[in-house]
Amino acid sequence: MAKGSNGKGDPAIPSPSSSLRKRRLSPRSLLDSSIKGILLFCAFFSIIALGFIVFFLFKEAVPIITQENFIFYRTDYGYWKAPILDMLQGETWRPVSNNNPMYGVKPLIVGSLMVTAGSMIIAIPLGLGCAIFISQLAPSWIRDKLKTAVELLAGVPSVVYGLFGLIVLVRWIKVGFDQPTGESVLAGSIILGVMALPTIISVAEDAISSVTRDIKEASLALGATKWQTISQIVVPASISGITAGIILGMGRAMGETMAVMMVTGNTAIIPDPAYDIFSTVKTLTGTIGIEMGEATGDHQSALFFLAVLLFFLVLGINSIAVYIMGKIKAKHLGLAKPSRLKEMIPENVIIWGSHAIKIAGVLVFLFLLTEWFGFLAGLVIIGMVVTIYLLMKLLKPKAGQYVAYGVVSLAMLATIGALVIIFYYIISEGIGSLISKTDYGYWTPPWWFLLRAPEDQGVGGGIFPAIVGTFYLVVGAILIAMPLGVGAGIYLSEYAKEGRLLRTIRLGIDNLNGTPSIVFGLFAFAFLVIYLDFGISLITGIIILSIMVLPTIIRTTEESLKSVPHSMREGSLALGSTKWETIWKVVLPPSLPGIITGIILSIGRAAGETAPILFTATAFITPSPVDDLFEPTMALSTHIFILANEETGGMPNASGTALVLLIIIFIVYASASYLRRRFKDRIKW
Amino acid sequence: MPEKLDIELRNIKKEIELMGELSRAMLMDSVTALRDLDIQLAEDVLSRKETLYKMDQNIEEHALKVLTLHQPMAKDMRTLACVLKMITYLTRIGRYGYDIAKVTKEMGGKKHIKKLIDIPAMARIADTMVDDVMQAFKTEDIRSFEDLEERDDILDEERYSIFRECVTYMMEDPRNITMCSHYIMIARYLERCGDHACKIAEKVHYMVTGEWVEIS
Amino acid sequence: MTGMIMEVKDLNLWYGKKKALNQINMRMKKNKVTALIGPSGCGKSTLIRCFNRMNDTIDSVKITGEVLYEGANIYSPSMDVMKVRTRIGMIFQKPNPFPKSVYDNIAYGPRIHGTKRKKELDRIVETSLKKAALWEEVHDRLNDSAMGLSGGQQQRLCIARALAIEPDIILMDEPTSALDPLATSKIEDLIYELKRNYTVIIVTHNMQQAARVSDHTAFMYLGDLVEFAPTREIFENPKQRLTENYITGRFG
Repeated sequence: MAKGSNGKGDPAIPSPSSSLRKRRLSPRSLLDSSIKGILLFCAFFSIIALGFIVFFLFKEAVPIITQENFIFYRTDYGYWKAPILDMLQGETWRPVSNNNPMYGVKPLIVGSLMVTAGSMIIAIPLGLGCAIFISQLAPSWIRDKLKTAVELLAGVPSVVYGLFGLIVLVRWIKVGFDQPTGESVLAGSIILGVMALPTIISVAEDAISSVTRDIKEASLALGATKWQTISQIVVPASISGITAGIILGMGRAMGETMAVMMVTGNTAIIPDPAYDIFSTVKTLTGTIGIEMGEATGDHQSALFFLAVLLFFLVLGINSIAVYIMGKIKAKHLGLAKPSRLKEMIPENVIIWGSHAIKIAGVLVFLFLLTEWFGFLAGLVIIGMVVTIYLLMKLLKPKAGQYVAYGVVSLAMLATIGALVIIFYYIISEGIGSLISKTDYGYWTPPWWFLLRAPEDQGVGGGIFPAIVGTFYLVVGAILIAMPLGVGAGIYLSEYAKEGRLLRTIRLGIDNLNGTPSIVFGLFAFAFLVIYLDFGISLITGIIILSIMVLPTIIRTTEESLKSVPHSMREGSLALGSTKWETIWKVVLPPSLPGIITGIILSIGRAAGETAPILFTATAFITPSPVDDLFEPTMALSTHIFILANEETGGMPNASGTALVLLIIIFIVYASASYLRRRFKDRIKW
Repeated sequence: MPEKLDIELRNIKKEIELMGELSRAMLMDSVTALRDLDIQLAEDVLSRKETLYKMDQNIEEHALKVLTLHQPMAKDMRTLACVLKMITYLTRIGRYGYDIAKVTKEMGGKKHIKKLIDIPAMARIADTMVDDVMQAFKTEDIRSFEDLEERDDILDEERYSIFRECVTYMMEDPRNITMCSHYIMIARYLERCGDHACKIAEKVHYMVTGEWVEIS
Repeated sequence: MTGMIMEVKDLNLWYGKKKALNQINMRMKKNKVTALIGPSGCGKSTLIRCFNRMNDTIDSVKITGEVLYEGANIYSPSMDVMKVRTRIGMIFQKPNPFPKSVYDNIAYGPRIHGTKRKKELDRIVETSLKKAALWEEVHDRLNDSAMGLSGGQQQRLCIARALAIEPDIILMDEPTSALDPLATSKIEDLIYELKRNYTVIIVTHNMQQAARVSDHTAFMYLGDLVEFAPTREIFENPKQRLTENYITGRFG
């Protein structure tokens, strides 16, 4: 016994040898181990989910690409054929045909690529311009507001974009360019461009803002103007992050379903000539979305093949992104070998070559613009671009700055303008449903729309069942995803060691995040609805939505936890706490705001999703809210789509529903924003 | 750390004050021994030479150590510069005491010519000069330097007058030559002590004000 | 004053409501090294940043008084701030090369000021690197990224970069505080060489460095210029008690 000051043994201090040994079955260590196990399970669940989805997709796609269980087969004529090659090269997509269904995917791939390319042409310059504006040019009081506006743009559900496209954009194109229909590659590109903008802007802006002050000061100290510093130092230094943003935006555009379904016309053709932007097209995602509900047998298998294609396309884009960014980072750190190629080409060739390329580019562009908009318009646009370019070259740097500022500010204005226009139209078209004059001359209060059942196939009446349906779906999804997601996030942040295992798990989560939503829908349909025989039901919707928001919750949890400094954990452990006690009492509390923000954002996302639940959880119209997990329900997002496709009179109520959905999402994002700001000040390390 | 530097400087100052006392004592005691023909006292003075040289070396090492480790600036640096020169002068002053004691021993009890009134008087003046400059070093008050030059001049005059007196004695009686040559040398030593005191005063002045002056 | 290249007259500076520089008056001589020393927060970095108007980049800064460069006030509205900065260059505390190649780092300055021809740029790059005593070490890897150089090399690269636009005055804000003693000594040797053709103003918190390297030293405290004199004087026999206390380490 240790001796206290009074000479007797102090009973509170146990003797060293026995007390330091591990007590294996102590309640504290038992709790610690079991919790670790639970959290590991949570983390693995996402890999299991993804793995299962991928497996299922492949399994279902097999029938269409094999003939009697072989991918390659010998025809009667004695040479090898492969259905998969036929599909990839086939130029006709005609799945519904009595005697000769054709599954050529070429037009669909072309459609997806054209629309994505078009969206990038719009989104990259605008996005980069806005990112530069927000990060470098905007005075600080406006910067936060602009960032909020961008986040708002990101929160608008795709079906609302599609609605806007249908109401406004398609009509503009039809009238303005004198086309038979406004549904076109152009419409798709514009809508997708606007949808990809927030992604590009926020990631690029983060990257640009994180360029350290000392490099900027070095440039200014050499006598450079602010614009020279931005264009020659800041942007190149952040090119890695900017590229990441662009790639992410591209992935979003490629995987988008609802909006393209609504504005591209959905005809599976390859435009002729290839640059005809007024042609209608059909994208991979649109195909799956439209035909999913009624496809059977081979047709359904073909749709799964499309999903697999999409999956690989997005995977490919992400892999290229990782590769490119790795190269850029290496170059910045000085680890890469300089390009020997550049050194071998004589200097004159490089100079004249670049001039030639620029001139050729201008000519091609002029040609395209003429084809699209007429010679005069083309000339004007080219003239403006060339003027700006020459101004920048010829003016003194100080004056040239202002030209650059003007261009960048225009980009910002255009983006804000897009936001304003969209909101304006949705509000003006939709307000009529919420507040209107009855025949008796009274104003109907808004809650009539909200609380009444739909009438007349949805053209009239209210949307109460849809509101309830969305509510159930969201709550259900969050109830499942929250424990799993937070648990996985905790595991990844606190327990996992860097290594193969961790990288695999992270890979799984990232890919889950990048998977287009329609692929989830397809999976849900084939597996939950058909295979498990849940049927089109609320429970199906809840399950699939929870899988979709899982990655977001995991990522925000992990990031919030990681931002707690290590010293706090070490302090707690040094006092003898177990790992779980440290997490529960020390690490989790300050991370709570970030975690809650992630959950709130997931609520917004779940409320706005359409594609996954369109044919798996929702019914057309139900008179009253759903009361059984295994029954189909209405939902705000799908209701918009359904009404928009009605032949007669569905638009007003569609707009009204869209307005309600926007208001809900607005409230969600506002509270997330408020929370984030409020707790940011509270926590002082 | 500045505290440590302060302590070191204080210690060095104390050490040099001790050395100053030793030098002065050696000088005064040697003249007393000379006056009283006290062989024992002379022996005692001779034995103190070791200590004097040791102090010289110790203080020098100490000062150089502080210089290396602390890289002192401004007044601290000037103090060390002053100290390093002072030990040389103090050594010389003490050494003159030693030399005078040696001469006393050699005289072996022979009687003095006259009462040697002037030599002890000279010694007293030199002693007060050394005392004053050492005090000034301690208190950093350099007002006492004002009449240092005068006193040095007095020492000069005294030396010459002793010289002339001794020449007269030597011309009178060749048996006086041995003693008188000793007297002339001792007077010279005492005059040099005065010079050294002035030199110390110059260094102390620099230490306190940072300015170079000439005091002779 | 013969050979005066820069004069500060009644300079006052506020960060918002807080006053950081009080009535600074000083004159710097051409082809000499002037050091600014003082405890943290005394305003020496703020002052040196006034000399090339880098403080303009901070919104809340307000300045009264004049900074005369060859007789003209650099703060007058008719002055082109970019041109001022080409004549008065700056090296920062933490080496900040651009994430580009060594060549492009140095060519950046001349390029933005109009030099385009490769032959000309090649010559400038080589001359600047030689002046910064870096040519021998990097001449065979001009196209490699500047980020791969050591800290000391990066700082000399920054010096070469500043020299490439041929300034008259080089401002150095604690240029060696992030470097090891060997790299520091190389840069101090470089400063001694640069003195022949340029005027150097250096902020340092290392007094021994100021003593080693400068011809004149200014001691600042809480925004005031306490004493400004030839270096030997400041370190041997400062006139102000405050200066003496700082230099002997009695405070700060």
